[in-house]
Amino acid sequence: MAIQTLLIINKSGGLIYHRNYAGEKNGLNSNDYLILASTLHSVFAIASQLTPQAVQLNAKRSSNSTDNNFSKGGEKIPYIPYVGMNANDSNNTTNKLNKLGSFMGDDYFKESFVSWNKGGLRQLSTDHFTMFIYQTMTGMKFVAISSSVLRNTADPSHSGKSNTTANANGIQNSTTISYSTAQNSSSDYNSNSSNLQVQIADNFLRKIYCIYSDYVMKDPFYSLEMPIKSELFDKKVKQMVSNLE
Amino acid sequence: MTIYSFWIFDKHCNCIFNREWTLSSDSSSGTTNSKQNSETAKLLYGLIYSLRNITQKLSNTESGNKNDIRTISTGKYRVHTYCTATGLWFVLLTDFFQQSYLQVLQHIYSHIYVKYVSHNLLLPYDLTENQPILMRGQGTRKITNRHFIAALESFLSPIVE
Amino acid sequence: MSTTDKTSSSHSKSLKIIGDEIWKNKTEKINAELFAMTYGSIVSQLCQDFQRDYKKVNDQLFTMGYNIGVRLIEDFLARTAMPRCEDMVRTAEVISKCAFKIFLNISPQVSNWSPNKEAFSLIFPENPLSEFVELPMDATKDLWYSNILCGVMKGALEMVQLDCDVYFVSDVLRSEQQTEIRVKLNKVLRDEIPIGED
Repeated sequence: MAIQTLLIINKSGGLIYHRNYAGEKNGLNSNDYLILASTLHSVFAIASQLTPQAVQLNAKRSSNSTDNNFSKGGEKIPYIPYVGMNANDSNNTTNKLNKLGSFMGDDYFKESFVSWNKGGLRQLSTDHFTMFIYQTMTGMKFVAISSSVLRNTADPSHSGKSNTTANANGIQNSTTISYSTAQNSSSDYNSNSSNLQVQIADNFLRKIYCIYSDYVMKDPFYSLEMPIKSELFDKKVKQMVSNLE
Repeated sequence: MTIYSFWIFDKHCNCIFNREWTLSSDSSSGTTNSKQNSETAKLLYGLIYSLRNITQKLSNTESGNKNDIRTISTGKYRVHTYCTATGLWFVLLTDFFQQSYLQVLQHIYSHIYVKYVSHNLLLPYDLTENQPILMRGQGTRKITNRHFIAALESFLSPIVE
Repeated sequence: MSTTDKTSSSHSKSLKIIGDEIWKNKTEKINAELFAMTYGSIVSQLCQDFQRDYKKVNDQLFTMGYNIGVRLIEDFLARTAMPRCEDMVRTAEVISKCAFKIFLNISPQVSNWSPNKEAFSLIFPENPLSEFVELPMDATKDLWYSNILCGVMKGALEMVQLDCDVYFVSDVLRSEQQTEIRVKLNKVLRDEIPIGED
């Protein structure tokens, strides 16, 4: 899953960060990106209003039952190991005191988590790219545009798609095993792999959020909601993106 | 594997057909061409239109104008779109079971729409003819052809359940 | 009734575990004396700069805390990915068991709930900021030494759309019984809740 572009949008819909990693010039200047960001922000809101009635009725029915499940709020995203981390370090057992900013250990987090984004836009698939959106509880949106494309044909023999997920660096064999068992029915395969893609993207974007909370929030000279101009942040994010290829 | 609703939009930004299934297990529930859905239709049109614009802006211009959106997912439902060169949009709102309903939408276009609407010389090919062009998005005429609706129902009902 | 008690105690247990685990394994630590002395030098310098006008010092500490809080919340959310709290009871639990544990390695007690469950007090059995501090005579009446904590909480809660009043009620530095901070919910900022959450 190669990330082409990363955008960060603040609470009010303004663009505070954007970087292209694929090197392709698509002729968009910074003004165009600003417009893009605010359009995405409003589309995000519209998407939550379009929830079909059947879904709303189901939600009402399930909330009436006394189900005090801790994670009844949103979808639980499983932890996918080492997304975006350096493959060499994860194999190097002597280097346990890896410094990830203020996060100790070899990865930013190790548990599954509940998505804050229930009704808003999460994924947009097109013919040439897929866009993933991760929204935090404070209203910030992290948008990643990746060149992986979800195929239309339901033929599991097309191994092109499996490459995109297996390349998420350091993915343990367990995920590929759960992958092959899902090849029983073609539609199962499709939904599992697209869910996996969204989960990888969520894991990755949460790590970008961790880096943001370190290098941007803790910079005393950074004003909130303003464009990010931190070289350290750029460097760390670039590292993560290149690890993901 | 549930379908929540099905919409057709024409090139004048009007919704010319919509079918909503409100009870996920009952294929005969829901509404056809209901007036209450006009707000939803406009929002859906706006959503798809804006995202299509974004997509086209973000695409590499060298590969031509071939980048079109396929699916839009939120936390609760998924939107599948099929846009034809004549400006028709076929839109399906479903759950997450299947990644792509492209073949379903293509079948609806080629075998149901073309057969019962385009080839029907007694139906206007453009439902907004005789209305001023300024009324973009304001047209309210819908496809009410019985054969079309019947064929659509029989094709989609087994998938709805 | 018993099942809800069980689930709520298991929720708070898992919060405690989350807090402990992150404190032990996932945060960098610094020398506690350095931290206490840095904070002490800030307070004493402020007292000098404002010529012992302790009300102004309190306000300045609160503002500093507010600026910290609006940024610290992102760190907390990125680290724990906590889902939104349904009510103030849950919020109080998360603050006392998770947040304070992760950042200061203390677990204040939650008590003194208001009848409508919208205000509570945090009782601090220990305070790493003021371990070695003795207030001068003229400060004991007006200065809230650890007022920065109130600012941090207010800033952090505001960024998750909870408008609260946070203020000191008593402080052992003033020869009072216990250190107590009161948190009172004014309103939930519904307009600012990000779209996409129900």
